[in-house]
Amino acid sequence: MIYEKMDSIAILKATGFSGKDVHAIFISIALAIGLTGGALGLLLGLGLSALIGEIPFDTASLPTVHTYPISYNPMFYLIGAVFSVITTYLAGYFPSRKASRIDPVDIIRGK
Amino acid sequence: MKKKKVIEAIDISKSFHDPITVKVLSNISFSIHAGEFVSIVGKSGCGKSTLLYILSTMDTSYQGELLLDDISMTNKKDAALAKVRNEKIGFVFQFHYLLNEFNNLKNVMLPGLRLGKLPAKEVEHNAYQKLKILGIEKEALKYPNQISGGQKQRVAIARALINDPLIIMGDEPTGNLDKKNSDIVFNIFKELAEEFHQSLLIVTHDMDFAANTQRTITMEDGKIIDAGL
Repeated sequence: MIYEKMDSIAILKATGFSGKDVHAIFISIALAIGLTGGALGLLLGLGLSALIGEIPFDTASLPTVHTYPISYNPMFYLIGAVFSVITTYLAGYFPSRKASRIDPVDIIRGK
Repeated sequence: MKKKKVIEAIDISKSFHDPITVKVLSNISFSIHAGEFVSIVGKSGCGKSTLLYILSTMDTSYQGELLLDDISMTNKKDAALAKVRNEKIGFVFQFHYLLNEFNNLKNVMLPGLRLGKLPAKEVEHNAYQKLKILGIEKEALKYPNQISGGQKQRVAIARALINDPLIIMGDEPTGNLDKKNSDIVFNIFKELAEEFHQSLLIVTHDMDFAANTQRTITMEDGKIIDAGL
């Protein structure tokens, strides 16, 4: 991602975006990916567990249970959401820092 | 009346230290006044691009002092220099460096939105006006990969103009263009200089181009051998 965007980073810096701005741009891209990916994953998980919850599950030891037992504890969803955002933030942080330090002269001179 | 100096280089020197120390610029001093259309020529490797990068504040490892608009740029922090570039310098490079993710109008607007002095609506209006001056307003809503090389370079010039910069700097802006498009770009620069009193500093190896500018600075081995005065 950073390597593909070298030219763009160079021109942003040449036209007055600071290293901080470039860092912020890449972090927000990473977070956007984390948030949408996390939300999609949670929805998919919820859908799948609702489906699985319909599967008949009869056992002599638990006479009141007739379908697959599923916990819908919101805590698990919260953990999932936080985890997706944190991992993408970390995955975006180091490349973003690298992007913010790119010297536009190196890129432009190379052309 | 003495005209205002837009750029003043005072005794600027620079050396590369990798792998051995080579002096690329030695004791460069000159100034450019408001409204001047200046070209810098010289053989490849004479240091003309290196000088331009220093004058543009992008390269900060040099000795000497650089004044832009009578304000010293030497020892300023990176963020402050980025702001200066945004506000006071318009760039045109050999390669257009347009962002393919945005349409041409948005590309032109980008430095204006960064500056944040005007609301987005007005920046858009100005961007459209700049494209109109350059005769490419019809391409405003197209994307850079949908227009020709010559048109891309004109969009890049419009982008350079968006914040009404103190000076336009060009690094071989016609280097990738054929004769016809080079002439178009040259005439745009000339029109900007004559009608809008825009200061321009263009590095080129195209002697025809240089001969038609108001003043030509000639460099050799890291020194100015003719200041064109």
